[in-house]
Amino acid sequence: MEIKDIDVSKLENEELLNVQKQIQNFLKFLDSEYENIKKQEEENS
Amino acid sequence: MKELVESIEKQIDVDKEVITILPRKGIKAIKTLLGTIKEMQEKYEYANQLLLKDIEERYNELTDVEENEEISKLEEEILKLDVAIKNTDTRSSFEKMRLDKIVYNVNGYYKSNLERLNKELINCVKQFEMVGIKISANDFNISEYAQEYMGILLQEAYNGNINSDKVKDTFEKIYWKCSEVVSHLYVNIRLIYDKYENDIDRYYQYKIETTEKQLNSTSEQVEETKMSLIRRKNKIEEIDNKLILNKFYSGLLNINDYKENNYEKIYLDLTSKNVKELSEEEKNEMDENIEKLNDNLTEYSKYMEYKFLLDGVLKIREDELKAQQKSKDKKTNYEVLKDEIRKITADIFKLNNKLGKVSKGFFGIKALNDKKNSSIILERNDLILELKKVYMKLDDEIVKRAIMKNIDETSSILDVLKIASYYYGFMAKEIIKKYPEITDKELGEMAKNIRDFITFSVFSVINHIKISDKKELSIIIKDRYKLFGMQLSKENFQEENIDDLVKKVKIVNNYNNILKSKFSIKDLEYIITTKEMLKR
Repeated sequence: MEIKDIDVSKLENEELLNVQKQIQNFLKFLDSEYENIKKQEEENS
Repeated sequence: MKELVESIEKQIDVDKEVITILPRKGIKAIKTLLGTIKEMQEKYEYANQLLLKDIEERYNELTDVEENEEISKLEEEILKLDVAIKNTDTRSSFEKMRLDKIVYNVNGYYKSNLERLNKELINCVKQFEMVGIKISANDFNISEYAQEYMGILLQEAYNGNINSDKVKDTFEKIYWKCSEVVSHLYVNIRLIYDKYENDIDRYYQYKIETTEKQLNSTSEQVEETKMSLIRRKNKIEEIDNKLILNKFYSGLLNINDYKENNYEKIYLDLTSKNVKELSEEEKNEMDENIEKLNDNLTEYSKYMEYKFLLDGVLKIREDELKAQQKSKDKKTNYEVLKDEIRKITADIFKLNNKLGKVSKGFFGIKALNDKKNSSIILERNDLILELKKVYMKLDDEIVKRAIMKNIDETSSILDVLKIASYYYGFMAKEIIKKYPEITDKELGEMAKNIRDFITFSVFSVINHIKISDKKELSIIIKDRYKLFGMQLSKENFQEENIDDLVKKVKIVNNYNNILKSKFSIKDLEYIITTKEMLKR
């Protein structure tokens, strides 16, 4: 399943909020990982 | 759509795993990892935006509600009927003109706020105008101070600024010559009313006749019509989508109180019945009782808040009954006070005439410096203060007479509260006795709330319970609902517990009403959460 292709209309209200929260948390994780890795890149160069 | 949620969660877990296990050593590995993270960020950000858009659309759809139009129409009708009732009730013209409130405020406001004093003085002039009496500065002829001040105030009111520097400067100037100028104004208002009392009484008599003709009903019938409109309005408001939403938005209602398990718990507490095991018929019957209990408890709580007024009235009645037994006087206190007012008023104007001042324009400044005039002015001012005291005693006497005329052993609690609410000065005195630290503003609000409670509530308890009933009101209510299966005890009604009982019953009643609206509890949970998220 491609995350970009999810059919949000199939989600109940509570599920919609739940999924959005999970995606938001994952985005925060990705931002934090990106920053860490970027720092590492700068240290290595 | 549980499967969809699970597959999204799985996808997130997989992608997280990918990021975690990709190599991170070496420039090439880092570049690849950064690229992968960037790709994922774009993918998930796109999905996030889709979700947020949908969240907002659903929120907008759910909250796209308007208040039922019938509510404002009913409010208008109710106010019209209330005006008709107020014009035709048993209060004297003085109270109908709201002069009782105005003179109370004139007496008290100047200690805190000149602006509010001025507002009340202008209000006073407008009230007289409303009943067909046009008064000017010339009517404020009890003293040169009262006349000068009202002259400037009315002039500035005409120019649109009752709090101009001119008004403030005039007050300042007069105050240092006569620090009791506001007492002069107070007494003057009373005298103006006395002068035109017959005309004003005729105005209200005409109002009674035309109102009864227009409505083609007795005042009791009008009162009953008003009550039925209020009942109808309350019913509509209880299930109105917009009003329900606003109550949650404002924090008046807390969504956590309305979770299903809390509802079931409270229901069990109140009825010792598991709500899920009741048949539809049983549930409807119990809900009806809960609705009535909710209304009765609201009425009871408000009554307990204002019981001090009832106690005040009954104390006056008790004292007066004792005094009547002892007194053999031919003349009543009221008549004695009215005679005293006439005499002192005559003395005041005799002295004013001696001052050689004619109430045509402003009093002559030159004359004020004359030593003989100064001693006359002193004597006159003392009489004004004495007259003020007599008027205030008269107010007490008027309240006493109203109580003795209208209250007896067959009177209901509501009858007594009504009489108490008619007299602003009495209400204010009792409120201050109960709450000595109360501010002027708070007192005004409380007095308004008391009058609104009497005017706009539908009563089913205190309009029936007599002041002579020995049984406690809480026990009367408790016993009635126990008969219908509710678990209530005397302890529930004790001061430290009553709020908890009221809250529980309100929650159950509100919950039942919410289910009659457009919303489910889940809808409301969604709205509250989303509102916070979208920062609306």
